[in-house]
Amino acid sequence: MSVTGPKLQPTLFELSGPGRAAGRRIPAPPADALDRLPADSLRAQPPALPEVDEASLVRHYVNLSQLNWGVDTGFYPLGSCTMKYNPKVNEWAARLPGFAGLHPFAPDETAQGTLELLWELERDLAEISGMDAVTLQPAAGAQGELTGILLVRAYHRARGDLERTEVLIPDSAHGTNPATASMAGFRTVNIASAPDGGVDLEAFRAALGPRTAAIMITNPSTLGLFERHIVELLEMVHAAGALAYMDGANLNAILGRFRPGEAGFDVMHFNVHKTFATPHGGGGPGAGPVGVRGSLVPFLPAPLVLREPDGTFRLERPGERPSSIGRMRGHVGNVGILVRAWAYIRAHGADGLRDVSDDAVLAANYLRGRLVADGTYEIPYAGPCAHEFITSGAALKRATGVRTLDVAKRLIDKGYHPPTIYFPHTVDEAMLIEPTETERLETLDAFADALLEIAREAHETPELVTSAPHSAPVRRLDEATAARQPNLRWRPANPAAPSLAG
Amino acid sequence: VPDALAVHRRLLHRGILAGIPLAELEPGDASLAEGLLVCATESTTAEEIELFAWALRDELGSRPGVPAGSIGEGGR
Repeated sequence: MSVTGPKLQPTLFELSGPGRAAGRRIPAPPADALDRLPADSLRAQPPALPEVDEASLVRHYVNLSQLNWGVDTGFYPLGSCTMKYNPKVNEWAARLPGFAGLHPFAPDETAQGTLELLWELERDLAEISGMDAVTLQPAAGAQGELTGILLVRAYHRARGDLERTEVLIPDSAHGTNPATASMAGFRTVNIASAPDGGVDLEAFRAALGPRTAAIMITNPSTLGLFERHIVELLEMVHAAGALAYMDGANLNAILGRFRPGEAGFDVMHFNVHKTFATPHGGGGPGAGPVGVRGSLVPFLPAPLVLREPDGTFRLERPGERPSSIGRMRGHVGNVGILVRAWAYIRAHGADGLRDVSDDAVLAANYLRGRLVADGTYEIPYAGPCAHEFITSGAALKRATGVRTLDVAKRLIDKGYHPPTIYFPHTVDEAMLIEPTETERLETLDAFADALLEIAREAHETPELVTSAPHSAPVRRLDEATAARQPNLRWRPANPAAPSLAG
Repeated sequence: VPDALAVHRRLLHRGILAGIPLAELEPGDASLAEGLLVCATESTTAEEIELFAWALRDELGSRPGVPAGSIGEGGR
């Protein structure tokens, strides 16, 4: 399938013309540089790179960027993703030449500033989470999960406890949780949630045993609910000899109010692109630091950043800590992202971070309250929510035939990114809405108004909703085929045309 | 490079980061003990290459003439 439309842009190859490239070129090599290379290593023809003048190049990329919806474009209440505004001062910090120009193999004595920042960030995250130590190495949240579960595996193995082959995961969990446990070689056991959406203590009690290596819990859960029975659950887990992993995806709801390590969790990951306002990478680069309590510290990936008695900093040397599970990726992690996280934490301070979570929870409850008061959309779980909440379009679908998918597409016409839909799978026609703390009251009201207006349209002119979006660069796409059989290769419209290299 | 680690350290004090001592990457491989892994990119100028070559020769004891545009010994 090809995507076309008046708002889409030609490729750089279609804009290309011989001799149009302008502006700076690569610095000239020594005059005899090519003579020093073996003749059979030289190209016969120049590479077929597009040649485009600078103004056209800038317009090309600016126009492409405007086909994307981002947090700098408008409201983006994508539940579970914490799409909050990323302060631009963090970008300035990450681009300081001392950080941006540093080579990952630079000798420690030339990298003291970066090492000190990383050392401080490890401790800031430990303080925030109540954990004893933190690794910054994982490249993303899912790799953080894998790191955490490999640490659990190393812990049990080191104790000679080799029979623990199961990881218990509630049915509302992120799909990455069971995938992580499977990748680490464990069997996952799915535990149904209680009717109130929380963990079912009795179901966990029945499943816990000498084969349980760990449980994986997201708190607040993907239903936007703070687990009320977390203390009892963790006591049961530890009494069974198992460990407790906390998926930190929803940390934005609990900063300064709940410290997972203090509550008894043994290991957790941080999504810095959610809680600490580093950009969502669209596949990277990101960072998914992992915090652990004392019993898991010896197994953390190497290298950690160490502070010497004289106050200087260095990386652990290869083999220095033999109990480590080893590297999870090259070097110490995606340092540019970690600089942004450090800047965000230091700009807010302890009180500011608590305000972040308080405001995120307030915004979600305000928006939830607007929908509860109207009654058009169902709110399956009673009581206040955390930083996000579930609503359901099931009643609207029964009354009009308009599905949650249609509502989501129509929101695009109204100028909003849709919320997460059909997740968690335990709620029929689910919408998971997370407004975050960085939106103004007027935006929350306007979004609630848009949802209610779409519900009226569903009754009065349902085809307007089921055929949406009408104003987007492209209409409804075959998303399944696009994901499974992506066709991203450009081919010239006229293959007989002269090559770009001319 | 004979005594690569020490040469690397002395060049660093002169403001030149002479690549990566291979002994730090593969400490167990004796055949790499005297190696420096050095790289230039398209943004490395001919003058920088000449300066590096001059400083390396200087550290190794064969003192050539100072190249034009040199930042000089100990400079940064």
